[in-house]
Amino acid sequence: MKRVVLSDMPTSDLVALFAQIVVGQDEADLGGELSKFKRLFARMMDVSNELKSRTGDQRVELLQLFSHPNMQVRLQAAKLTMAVAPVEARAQLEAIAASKWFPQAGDAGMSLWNLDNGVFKPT
Amino acid sequence: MLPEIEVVASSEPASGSDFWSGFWSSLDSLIGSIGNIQRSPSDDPPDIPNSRPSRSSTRIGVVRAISNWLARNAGLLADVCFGFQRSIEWLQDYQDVIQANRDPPRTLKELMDGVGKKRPGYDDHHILEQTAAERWGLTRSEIDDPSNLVSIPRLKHYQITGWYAKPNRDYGGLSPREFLSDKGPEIRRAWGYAHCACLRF
Repeated sequence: MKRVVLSDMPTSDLVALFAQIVVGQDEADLGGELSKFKRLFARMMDVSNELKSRTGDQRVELLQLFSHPNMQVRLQAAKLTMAVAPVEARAQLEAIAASKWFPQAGDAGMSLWNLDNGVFKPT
Repeated sequence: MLPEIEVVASSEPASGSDFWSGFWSSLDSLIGSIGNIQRSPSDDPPDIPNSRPSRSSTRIGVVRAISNWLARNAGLLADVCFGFQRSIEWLQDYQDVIQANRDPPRTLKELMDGVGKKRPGYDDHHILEQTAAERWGLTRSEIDDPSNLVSIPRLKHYQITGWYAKPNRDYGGLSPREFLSDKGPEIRRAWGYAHCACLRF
């Protein structure tokens, strides 16, 4: 088995990895597979934390996923770039909320509500 | 033969060290794929298998994919897709929920007025979750009070239930249910109303 350490991966590959994990989240959610979704959420956060730890907080690279064809990828990228690019991230959440693309549209709407009410404090 | 890979995070993964095994069949498919992830949004109709999928999660996934697509599309293509899925035998049991999910959004009053009517494809939903309400000592009549009930499409009901259970970045990785576990009924009710608005039942 080939061993891949996240800290050894180039940032561009981490972004691709992030997208692939979140597409898996979307499929798990569609099939009602909660335990699988939870595992993939933890993996997504592993990748996000690795990007955050890099010089200049490389989560900013997730902005390129705002045009990803999968809506769950756009949603998670928006939430995880809120601390580094709040204007762009909020605009993305607003676009998703208006898209009627459920369940992500509902989740984005709740995120905006959480931001406006001080519940979601991006770090 | 494609290589198996193991990916290691800097922190101990919550899901166990063997999770990555088998998640990708090829490292090559990942490396360099960044150029392929920026495409125009695709909203083609979902693939509908003619035979009934053996796995429940696959069946649910197909029904949700069809319903979600039909809910956000209209016109000739949507009519064709709607007609086609009606001809699939194994989907006959799901027609009510698919149709209910296509219904236009309603006002909160309309949702409340629909309670108890047992409309096909609809469920009565407690805005303040029943288990939490019982924990706070609310009586059955308070839990089932008309102000706490709305009639919503079954698939939206599933979406709410799923949203409450899934880990969420907004709540520091907790699920909304975990996050709200120490909050009082009024805060929780406000959440429920906000969710009704965001899901546009």
